[in-house]
Amino acid sequence: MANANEHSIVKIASNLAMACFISGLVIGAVYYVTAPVAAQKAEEMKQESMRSLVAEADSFADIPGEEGCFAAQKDGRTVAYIIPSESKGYGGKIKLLVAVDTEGKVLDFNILEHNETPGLGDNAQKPDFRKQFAGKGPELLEVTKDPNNKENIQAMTGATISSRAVAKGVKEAAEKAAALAKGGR
Amino acid sequence: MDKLKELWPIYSKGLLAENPIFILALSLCPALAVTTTVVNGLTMGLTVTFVITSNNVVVSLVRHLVNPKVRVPVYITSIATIVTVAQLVLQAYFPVLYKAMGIYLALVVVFAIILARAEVFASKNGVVRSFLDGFGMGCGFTLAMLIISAIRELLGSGTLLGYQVMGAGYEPMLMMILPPGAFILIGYLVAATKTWNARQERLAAQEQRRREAQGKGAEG
Amino acid sequence: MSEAEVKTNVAAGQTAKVPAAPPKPAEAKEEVKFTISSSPHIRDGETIPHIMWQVNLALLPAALFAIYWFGFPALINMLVGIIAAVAAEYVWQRAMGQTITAFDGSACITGLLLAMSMSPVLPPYMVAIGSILAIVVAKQSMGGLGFNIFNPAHIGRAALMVSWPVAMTTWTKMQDMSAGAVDAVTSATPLNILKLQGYDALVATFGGQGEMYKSLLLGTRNGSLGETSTILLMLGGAYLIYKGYINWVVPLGMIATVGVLTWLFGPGGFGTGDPLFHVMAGGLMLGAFFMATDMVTIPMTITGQMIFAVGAGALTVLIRLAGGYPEGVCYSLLLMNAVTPLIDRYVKPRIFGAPKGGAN
Repeated sequence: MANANEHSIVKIASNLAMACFISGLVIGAVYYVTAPVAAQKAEEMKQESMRSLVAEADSFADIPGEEGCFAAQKDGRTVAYIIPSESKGYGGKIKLLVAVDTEGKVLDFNILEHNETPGLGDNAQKPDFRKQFAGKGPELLEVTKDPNNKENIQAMTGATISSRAVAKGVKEAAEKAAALAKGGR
Repeated sequence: MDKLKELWPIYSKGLLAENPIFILALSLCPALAVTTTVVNGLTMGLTVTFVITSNNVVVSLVRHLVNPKVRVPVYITSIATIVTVAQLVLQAYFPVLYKAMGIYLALVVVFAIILARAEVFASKNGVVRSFLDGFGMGCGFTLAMLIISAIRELLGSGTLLGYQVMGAGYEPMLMMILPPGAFILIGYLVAATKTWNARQERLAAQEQRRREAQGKGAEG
Repeated sequence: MSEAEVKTNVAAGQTAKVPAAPPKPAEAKEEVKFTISSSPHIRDGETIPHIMWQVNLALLPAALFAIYWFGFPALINMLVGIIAAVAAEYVWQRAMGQTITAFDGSACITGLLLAMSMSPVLPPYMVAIGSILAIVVAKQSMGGLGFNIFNPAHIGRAALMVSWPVAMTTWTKMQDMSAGAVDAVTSATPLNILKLQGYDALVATFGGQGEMYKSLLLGTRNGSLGETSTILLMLGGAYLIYKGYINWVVPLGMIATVGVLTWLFGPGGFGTGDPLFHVMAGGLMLGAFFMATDMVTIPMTITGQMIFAVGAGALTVLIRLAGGYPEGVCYSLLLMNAVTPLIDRYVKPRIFGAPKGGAN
């Protein structure tokens, strides 16, 4: 047992190398099976997320030259744009996916990622706050705290910073969509 | 029958007597981080059960082939492989859960409880016993995650498994899905488990004494 | 636990039910391990219940004013807070087989302070949960009176703040509630208005700077239950200082720090702030006189208490002027509670035989 040869560096190294080789084989084999499934699932989730924003569209086409932007099409005609957007909220980055119609009016948006305070800032996902954006163009997308102001976006209770961040992200997306629409894409 | 009697404790000690979270106080990080909903807690629990059980089996199988000087790197390689497999499978078939687990899924590799069982138990025992040990520890971990996440989801969101159970009038107590609530809750659960175990031990000791006394009585 | 033990506990609970009562039961309690707290007042033969009930008494004027000003809900919230705190302590001590000291007035203070530091329109059940958390988590789980690191009332308030942020920051519209209220501020506390709309808007809501100071001093403004009336809180604080139950260093140090810093870092640049407003607004008076002076959770030495007071004041200003919340008294005191052991380590009490002021 305690033979010096037993613990030679070569033996130890080959032992470890063998372990890593087997590990690589196993992971490779599993990846071969799961990778296409994962890619397909990711694509499905993306489509579903976009469909939830623009219900009437039947397909979504990449917009050439605009990374991550899609044109929602119905019978081959563009009815809305899906624009990813990002802004800085109370707890960090807020990633949004915004649907804007061809006239630059917001249809709806989804929050993909956020770190806002539960119960305050994360209420931005709830319909009460979200539905305020529908039908508004970029010029109206400002946050207000005046309860009588029905034109703009009412801030969420106790979460002004999150409200502003979301409004800013949506506004930028709406402006971008308006530019795209003007460009005839 | 005797065999079963011998093997049962190997499995069952992980549930309460040596519960990884409540007694050994290992892997508290995921216990705090991913237990905001029952689904997340359960996913993490089952993933860890899968990893710890298969790793124990692998380590037990190769325990005579591995050079003692590199055993820890080899064990870690084995754990990392199994975790990666679990990760790939989750990503492909349950992408939503995969996203909810986030960074903590990859962190399973360095959960102390997994390496501890490999080193303490599986490297010294046969395949069946190692399997039972790993499975018991995994079940104990899952049980703890379930209890923590059920309480947190119920109080913090008013739901269980996503279903509204507290009634519409219930105002969720947000502290419970935030880290401070988890810290406080785990503290009290640890205290409760310790009290329970102490009581069991005391009862066992009493039983022993009673038997001894009876034995003496019979002799006399 | 043996049966005999249970019996003695029950007996202790019954005698303790007579709270401010004559020295006999109280002294009997002195012998129990409980009174080894670092409180500096034990030396002159005062008992814990006596001091605690005196503190309650000092809070009474402000509490009564709260009932007058905010109406019935204020009374309900304060009663719920007190009953929940005392009941939680009683149940815990019964269950753990400890000597029952639930009626020594300290749980009562916790419940009352908690209710007084929160909005009058907070649902009573939330007040009850806060009280129970304060007693069970912050006080009894730490070992009971004298062993708690943090002020229990503050833990209760912080727990409620993270649990129900919306309810905790919803303030009453006072016109409908109290007949005496003329042009009261609606739905936002003065500090809220300051944070969101700025100083000029704040003065405008009161209709002039003089009016603002007057309503802040008298308490005819919006805010938490017990924090509105500066003058009554000062009265209670002065009584406690006069009686020697609290040291003037802490409240004065904290209030002065807030005053100086808010004056220095005013909205229009260096030295343009309104210290008078900041000193009287929010929960500073309540915090400085009744929470920062909690004997258990602040440093033992005078120097240490000074550091504590200045630190708490500075943190309060930092949160008010630069933080996300409009008011920071609660969190700043909790943070200073956390560093109290550290302060005590560096500012050691003199172990020089003098009995008078020895602990100081």
